[in-house]
Amino acid sequence: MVNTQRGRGALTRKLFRDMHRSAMQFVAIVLLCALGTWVFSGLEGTWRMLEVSAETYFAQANLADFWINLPGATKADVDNVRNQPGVLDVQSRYTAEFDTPDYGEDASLKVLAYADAARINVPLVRTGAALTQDDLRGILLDEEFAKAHGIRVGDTLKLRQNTLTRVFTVRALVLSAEQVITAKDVMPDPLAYGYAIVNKAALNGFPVNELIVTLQPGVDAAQAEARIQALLPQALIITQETHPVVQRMRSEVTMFRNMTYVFPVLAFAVAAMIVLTTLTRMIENQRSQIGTLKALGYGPNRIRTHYVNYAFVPSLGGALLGQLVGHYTLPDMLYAMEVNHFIIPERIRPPIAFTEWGMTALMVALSIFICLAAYRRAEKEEAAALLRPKPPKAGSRVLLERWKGFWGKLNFNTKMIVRGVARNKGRTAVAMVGLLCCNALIICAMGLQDSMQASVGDYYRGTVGYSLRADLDTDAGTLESYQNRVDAQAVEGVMETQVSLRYAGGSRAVLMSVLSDGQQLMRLGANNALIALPTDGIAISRKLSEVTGLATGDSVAIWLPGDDTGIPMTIRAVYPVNIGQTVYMGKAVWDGLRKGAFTPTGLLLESPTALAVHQLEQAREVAAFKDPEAQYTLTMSVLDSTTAVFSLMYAAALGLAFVICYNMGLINFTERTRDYATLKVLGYHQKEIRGLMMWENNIVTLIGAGLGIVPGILLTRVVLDAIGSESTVFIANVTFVTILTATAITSVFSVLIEWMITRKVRTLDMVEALKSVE
Amino acid sequence: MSYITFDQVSKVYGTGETAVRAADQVTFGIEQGELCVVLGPSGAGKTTVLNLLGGMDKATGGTIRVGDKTITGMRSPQLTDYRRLDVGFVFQFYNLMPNLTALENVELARQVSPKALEPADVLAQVGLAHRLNNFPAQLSGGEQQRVSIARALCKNPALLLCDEPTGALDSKTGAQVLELLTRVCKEYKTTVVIITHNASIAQMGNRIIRMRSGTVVENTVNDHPVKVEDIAW
Repeated sequence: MVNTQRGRGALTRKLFRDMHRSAMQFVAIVLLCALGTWVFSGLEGTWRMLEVSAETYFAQANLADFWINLPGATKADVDNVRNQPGVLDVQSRYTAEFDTPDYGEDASLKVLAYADAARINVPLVRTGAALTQDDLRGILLDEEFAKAHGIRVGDTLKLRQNTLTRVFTVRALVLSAEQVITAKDVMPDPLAYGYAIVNKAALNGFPVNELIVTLQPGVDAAQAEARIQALLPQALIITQETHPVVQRMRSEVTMFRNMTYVFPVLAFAVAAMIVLTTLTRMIENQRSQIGTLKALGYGPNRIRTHYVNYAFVPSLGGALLGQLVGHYTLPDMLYAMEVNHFIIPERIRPPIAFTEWGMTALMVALSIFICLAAYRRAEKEEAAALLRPKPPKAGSRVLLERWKGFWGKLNFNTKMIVRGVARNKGRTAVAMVGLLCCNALIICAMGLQDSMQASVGDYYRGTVGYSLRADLDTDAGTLESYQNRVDAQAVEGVMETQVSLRYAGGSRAVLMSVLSDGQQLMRLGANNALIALPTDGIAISRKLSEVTGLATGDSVAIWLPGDDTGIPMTIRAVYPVNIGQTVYMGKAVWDGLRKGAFTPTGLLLESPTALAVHQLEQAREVAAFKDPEAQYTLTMSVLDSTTAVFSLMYAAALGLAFVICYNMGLINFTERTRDYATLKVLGYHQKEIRGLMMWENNIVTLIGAGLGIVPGILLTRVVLDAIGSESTVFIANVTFVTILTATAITSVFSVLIEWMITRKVRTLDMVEALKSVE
Repeated sequence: MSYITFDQVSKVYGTGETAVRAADQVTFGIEQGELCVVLGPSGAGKTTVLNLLGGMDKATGGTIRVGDKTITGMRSPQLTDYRRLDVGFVFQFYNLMPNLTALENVELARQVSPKALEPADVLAQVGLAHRLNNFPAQLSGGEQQRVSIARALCKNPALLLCDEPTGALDSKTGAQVLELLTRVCKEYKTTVVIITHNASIAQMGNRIIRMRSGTVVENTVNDHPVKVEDIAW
């Protein structure tokens, strides 16, 4: 009869001594479990931190559900919207851009002039005091713009629009939730662009042109939008889903969330697989001890519980460690990168999510399950059988030996290695799968960067055929007037306007680009070929087609701002353009609509002379210049936070590779100690044995890493699909150099680790190794 | 001077109070071409002596000479060369590579030995010409031990060291293996050292060294070795 208390104490001591003796393997399990949960918790925590911080900010600011672009809106329009079912509140305001001549010719502010005290999109006062209703001289200024220009509360600020100039006094520096990212184009530049809030009464003479609307909780936004659209057919309604700023913030959250469920899950799966191998080996190595415990009269439950602890203790420790470290470190790092672009006043750390606990529990449960499965094999055997050592696995011929010619050409050592690899199929397969996954992850991390660069580059260096773009104000001249006076290889114009695209099943505020029919500077066709614009309809960009489901041949209606009726149109083509949700229309089609003259909002210039650029710089109507190369750089820098995640992928992949290679190498070495000792006894020198080990490892590495290439490319596609933003299409583009580099990194890493392991041959004690019975 | 000389050889494991003297001032000599049986109970230090003689372990004190070589004091690479060129090992549990056939296991020895014999011929010599392409798991214990002997012989060593070569075999197979070792000693002029705890085997040796508690208690020359078939098991 076993004394339960004493038995338990002895088994606990045995557990911890076993852990101490097999420290490296237990550490490997801890690290693998930690790695599996670390990346997941890190990315899960990041998107949740971003989401909760942004959404709390939106909620505190009472973010609008709709921005209704309605030039000349009347009080009756406001009341009518307010009376629509589901509408909670409506405010009217005048929104327009003003120059700030005191802070440079290029600096401008988006001014939001509220007709009454801001109740919707309430600015957050950081320094100073909010505006009072009767303050006609006060202005609330974007804190970032103020910082960039050294403007303080109490300073004056001159606003200019065309010939009108007004001087205000800065009452407060504020943040606005609807301007969580303030960028005129791609990247925020507080020196050149910001926002400000004034009382509408301070801008007397300017008409209301925008209504902002909040809905009652639980109201279907699409139905409410449809009702308001029916009430105000000429209005351009922008919802939270299509609002460029809100959408950009939320798509960032979505991107991180999607990444959380693609990449870390893979890392988790690889970690689990290696835990499986390690635990299985550990339990198998305990075979005779299980037999001894059985022979001593320990009951099956006691023994099972003892061995479950082999999995439970390290997996719980590792998974919890990974979860906590991941949750409390990565989100802060990635968030810090995000807030380089997004201005969110308060970082809110979300509690550890159920999914994070779930992942930890899954890791622990999986380890226990693996352990139990391994233990069950031993449990079924009688004590006597367990006390007899397991006979070594028999050798057998390999498939390759059927090709006698080829097999015959292999040298003896290679044949021996091939047989060894084939004999330990399970272990070799796990090592190969581990290396496969590592290479796939590295290819994916590098491929994603390649693809982003290629997709953005394809637009700015391929689709865009001009070398400079000049944005024009509303008082621009005709295209011909510029073509006559601007000295450049080619001068073309684009007229861009925000329109409402309505189609069966929805509507969307999108950008419409009207281009000259014979234009040469926007290569919109496949492979950046020049393509003639449709003469009897419109074309749409690939992203617009993706988000709306619209395709060639579909009928839509285009509602221009202020129009009471839509213009029926047929989509004649979907252009493979990577950036923008855009409707493309030819100038002839536009002219045929009789909706006004073609007035360019942008000049597209090919190789303008320095003098031409200088003349345009002097022209009052030229608001800004855009250099495609600079645009490319800016866009890539905005993607920095995403690429930071790729760096994380690198780190995790290399971490995994290290643990996998080291662990599998160690298992391999331990299980073949006898073979290596025999070689040593036979007179093989250390370097010869190490050479054999390295050669075997090289074969496994090459096959494993090679097999990882296709999954790596496929994974890149899956991740790209998951992270594509609302405005950009990322096309998978994994270059040969990337594949080669990733494979080289994986291989070198594996070879280095194996080299470390082969050093153990030096200390391999032949007497000890050959002492135990077979 | 004998071909093999052990002069005051000691091997101590551990230090201080926990020190274990596995070999304590061991002194003996073995002549070239002799079949020497080292006899003793478990823990007598036989295997330690064999390991020291085979260059698998380093002595704590004393001098070991084999022919014109002084084993003690050799560095690891020199010991490896010694094992590679001069010594053949036969183990109780064979230590064959399970994923290599009988022929390939013997070829393993040829890979590192410049004066190696033809593996197939050596296997034929030990009576395994018909089992060349079988894996160890497909061979009986006696056959595996013969492969092990063939592997040792393939290097054409001057010294064949056998650690309990019949320990895992039944008496009939054990006798066959001992017969083979006797033949090897005579035909190849190889000095054979066999370690055993089985006193009846000792009668077949030209020399019998008895050990107890890490020391040599008797070193006798047997002028009338008993034939293997006459040994009572």
